[in-house]
Amino acid sequence: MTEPANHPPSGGVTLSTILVVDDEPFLREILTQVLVGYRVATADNGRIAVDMLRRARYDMVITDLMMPQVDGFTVLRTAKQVDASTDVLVITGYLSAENERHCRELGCLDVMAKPFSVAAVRATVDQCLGHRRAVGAGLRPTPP
Amino acid sequence: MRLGIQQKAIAAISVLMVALAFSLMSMSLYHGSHAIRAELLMRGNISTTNLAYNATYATLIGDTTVITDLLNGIMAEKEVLYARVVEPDGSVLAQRIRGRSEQSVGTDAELEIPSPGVHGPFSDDGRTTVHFQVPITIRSQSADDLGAELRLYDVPGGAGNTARSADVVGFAQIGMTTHFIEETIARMRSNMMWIAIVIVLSAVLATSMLVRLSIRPINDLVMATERVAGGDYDCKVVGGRRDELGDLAASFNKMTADLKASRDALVEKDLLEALVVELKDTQQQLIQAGKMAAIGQLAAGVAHEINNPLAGIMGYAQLAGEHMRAKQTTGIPPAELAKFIAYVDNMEKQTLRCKQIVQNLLRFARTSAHEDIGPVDINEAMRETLSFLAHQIDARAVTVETHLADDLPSVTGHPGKVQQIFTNILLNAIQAIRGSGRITVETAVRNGHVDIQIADTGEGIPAANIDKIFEPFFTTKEIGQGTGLGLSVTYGLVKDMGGSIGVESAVRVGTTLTVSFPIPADVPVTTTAAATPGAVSPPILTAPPAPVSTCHD
Repeated sequence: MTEPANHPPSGGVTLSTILVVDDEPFLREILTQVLVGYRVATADNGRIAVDMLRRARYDMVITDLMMPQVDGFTVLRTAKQVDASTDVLVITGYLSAENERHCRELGCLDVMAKPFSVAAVRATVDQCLGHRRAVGAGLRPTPP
Repeated sequence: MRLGIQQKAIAAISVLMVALAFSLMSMSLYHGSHAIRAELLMRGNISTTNLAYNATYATLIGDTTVITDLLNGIMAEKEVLYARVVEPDGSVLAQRIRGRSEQSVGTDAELEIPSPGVHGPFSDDGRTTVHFQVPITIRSQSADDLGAELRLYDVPGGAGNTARSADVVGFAQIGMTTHFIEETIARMRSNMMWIAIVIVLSAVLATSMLVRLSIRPINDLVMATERVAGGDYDCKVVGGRRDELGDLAASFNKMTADLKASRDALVEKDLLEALVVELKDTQQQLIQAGKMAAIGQLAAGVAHEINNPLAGIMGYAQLAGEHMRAKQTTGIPPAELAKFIAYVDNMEKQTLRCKQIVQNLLRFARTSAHEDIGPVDINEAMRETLSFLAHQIDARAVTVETHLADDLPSVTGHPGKVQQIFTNILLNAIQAIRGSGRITVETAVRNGHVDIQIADTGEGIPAANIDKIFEPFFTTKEIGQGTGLGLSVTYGLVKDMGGSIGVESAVRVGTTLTVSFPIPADVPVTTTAAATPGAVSPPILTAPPAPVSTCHD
């Protein structure tokens, strides 16, 4: 829905693109703020997110679980179908053992409970994308 | 000694029969002996009169030979002791005495034979000889005289006036012994005695048989009564007799049947009452379980809805904090900035607290059956919990007594959650104790379950609150001291493990919480008594039982 708005902190390196999916606008805003240094796209529901995933490639997806119409499980499944290497971080207010187990079965990177620690989200994303960059470009991880 | 009807009847009949036989016998004997004696008298009179008549002439001429012949004839009768003829002056003309030779003439005194004219009347008073005397007279042939002459006893001593003394030429005298009639009477008496005995015996025998026959149904009834009294209501008395006993047997059978019916009704009533109580109990438990499930669902819904705004508050607070720390805020004096940073940090902390509350709510509400389930050593979990709480226990004047059963089988669950259950209960127990007190922890196997009892000597829970203590947000603590989630979370955790939790409490005495976990089927159960002998487990008052239903979010 929203095109990447952040600017690269340093030139010359292809910015990783992250799709943030949540039906709460303030959470999309907070996550966008947290992920300064990455290209961030946002979707306010699962249906739009699935559309976006089919049309463009994202390095990482951060999604809520319980959303109207199309839920986070579908977003997670679609992301993995389109590109199995896409990492998906689930942040949910409905964290239960069953939900977590289901997400992990679908191949998510991690599951976090709301309210979340912004530092923890940032650390997870940095670790994940930094690692991917290192693997993909043969370089040492350079955090933004 | 207790006499039965039979013995009493026989005794009564015997006494009656003996009395009857005795009186009959006495009467017969009396009349019989009188008749016999009368007959003796008559014979004596006749013999004496005959002698007087036949010896008249011989007496006149003094011919003793003829008289002796007459006397011999009289002596043929065995009862005659003596016979003689005396002259009016009393001298003996001729006499025969039994046992003496014919010729010998002894003195009267020797023979103890009364002299003529001294005969008393015949009587029964022990005399063994009856003396008869008839005057020998020269006949005037008048019919009147003859009749007069036949009268007895009135002869001598001048008193007699039956004969004209001028005509009397002598007296015929005969003595007869009563020995033989006494013998006859004695024989008669003994015969009668025997007859009486036979009659009495037969009567007693007949009575006894009759009584026995009539008594038998009564005995049957008595035995039947005893059996009924012993609880055998199917016992029947054989009836069919067409008499009062038959009626009694029928009445008895009817009574027994009625008794059985009412007993059965009573038993049925007891069963029904027990069922009603059980039903009410179950209903209560279902209501409680349903209430908890509803609360759980509500809590889960609220918790989830609240997580998003909480995430917003916390996210913004964290971002603001980061921003201010990065000195990206201009125009604010550093002192002010530090204050703002503290504010947003507090916002974050309070939001984290909210998160904890919500997590507890969710934990109460949802099942966590899929998390690291395995065998849990209850005693071990309890020891760890106690050591974890050691400083809290030490901080108050609380002593903890533990009675952990040896060989306690493992239960299935999550060790951390079991510890959380124990922690919550123990914390409540510690907080319930004002001043000093004691907490007693006991584990034991009871009825295929591992029972954990945690008893405190604290304030206790009023009866009105005892149903509510597992409900979320129910707390009696000061505001800020507790969320009221501890025991509700505990309840959810215990339920997740298929266990039950119960509480018994008395105000100012203390509270006992009993957690009961089922022993998995594959664990061999050796029922061990509680480690403390004599430790009595209080009955669980109001407790949601081992629930089948669980709350899902």
